[in-house]
Amino acid sequence: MTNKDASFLLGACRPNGADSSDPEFAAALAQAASDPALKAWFDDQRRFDSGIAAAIQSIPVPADLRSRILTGGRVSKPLPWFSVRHLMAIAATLLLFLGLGGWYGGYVHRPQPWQEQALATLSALVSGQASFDAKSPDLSTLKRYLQQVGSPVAAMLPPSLQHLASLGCKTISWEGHPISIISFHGPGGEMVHLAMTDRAALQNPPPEGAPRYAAIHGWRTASWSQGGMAMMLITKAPESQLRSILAFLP
Amino acid sequence: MAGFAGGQTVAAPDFEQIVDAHYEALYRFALSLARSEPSAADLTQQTFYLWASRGHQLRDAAKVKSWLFTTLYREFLSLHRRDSRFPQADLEGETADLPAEGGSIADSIDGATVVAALQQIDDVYRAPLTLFYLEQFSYREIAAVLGVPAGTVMSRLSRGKALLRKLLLQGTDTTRKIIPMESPPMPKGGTQ
Repeated sequence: MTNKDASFLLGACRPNGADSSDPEFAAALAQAASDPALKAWFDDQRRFDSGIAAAIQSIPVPADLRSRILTGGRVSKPLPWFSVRHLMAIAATLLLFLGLGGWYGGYVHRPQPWQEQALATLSALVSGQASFDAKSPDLSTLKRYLQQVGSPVAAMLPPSLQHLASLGCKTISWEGHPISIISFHGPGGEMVHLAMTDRAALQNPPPEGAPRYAAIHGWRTASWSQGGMAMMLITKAPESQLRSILAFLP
Repeated sequence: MAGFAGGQTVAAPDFEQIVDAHYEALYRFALSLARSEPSAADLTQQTFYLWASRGHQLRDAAKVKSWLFTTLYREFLSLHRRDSRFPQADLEGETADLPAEGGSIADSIDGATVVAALQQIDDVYRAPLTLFYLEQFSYREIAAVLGVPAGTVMSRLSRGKALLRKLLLQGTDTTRKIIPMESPPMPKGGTQ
């Protein structure tokens, strides 16, 4: 093994000695112990590596990050299996009653993972545990920002949203697929949020045409697909407000 | 404390334990990738939200750390890979057999200076370098986290360290020394 080969291997040897018993490094370490030139290089490399490692490991972490993660995690955590079963039983019973009554409006709806992801982010946003990527009262500015960062933006947004003052936007990722969220000041004072993602990325996308309304984790949602985009309008306001915003959906 | 793993009541670490064990290293990794503290914090939070929402599917508790770092890296790539506004550095002159001297430059260096230098380096080198210096993963484990062959990690560590050393030797005002390139430099030997 040449010294260059040995230095190539030893460059992957951690400075804290965690790799010193790795047989992959044994020959190179032995050579470094007996060859003065390689030893000088390795000593210098270790000194450099130790200094850099210490510097990186001393980078301060935001004081509130831990509490924000713990709070956000509680919002995101899945329901225990027994609860899911109970909820499914309740949902089945509700469906039965609603079906018997001849009423079907999509109230009982199991959210898709991308929707759960968007709602968890919204919970973090409204509680101050997360922040917008960009803020502007001008919707076109936010759309332009989202396009610049490669996040999806529907070619046609619900017309009523165009008249609302926007607040900010955020890009999140679900299984590698970007989801765009734009928040607006709603007409009744409650905020209204629009989440968008590529419909083709979803196994079970919302229907084309008429929105499907649902109540999920305390949010009112309306989901639909349009022009290759899956969209979800979200608010804490009554469902009637979602329906009025989407009344003129193209 | 009860875990969040649904019906799995066996000794899996709970969410708080997992956060305490890994959030600082994850944040430092995210900071080197994301180039800003708010983005790094967001990326770290997002990783734990993903764990909270589906990490319970991972049955092997020993793989939690790898899962978290891999997920953070994929999240970063999915959001930022197309962002090529940042300059990449010239690696010319990094071919000496045993490029020595300058190890002492790191003796009293601070984290902010190292991060500033790392952020001048292309993602391809920055990610393995940061994981290496966090010292929590062997080069084979770094390869698994980044999804590249082990030999590629060695190549990237070698070239990345040479570049980092060069940038630190040039001083903290590195921007004037950076030479934009049309495409990222590829390690020798045909690795990725």
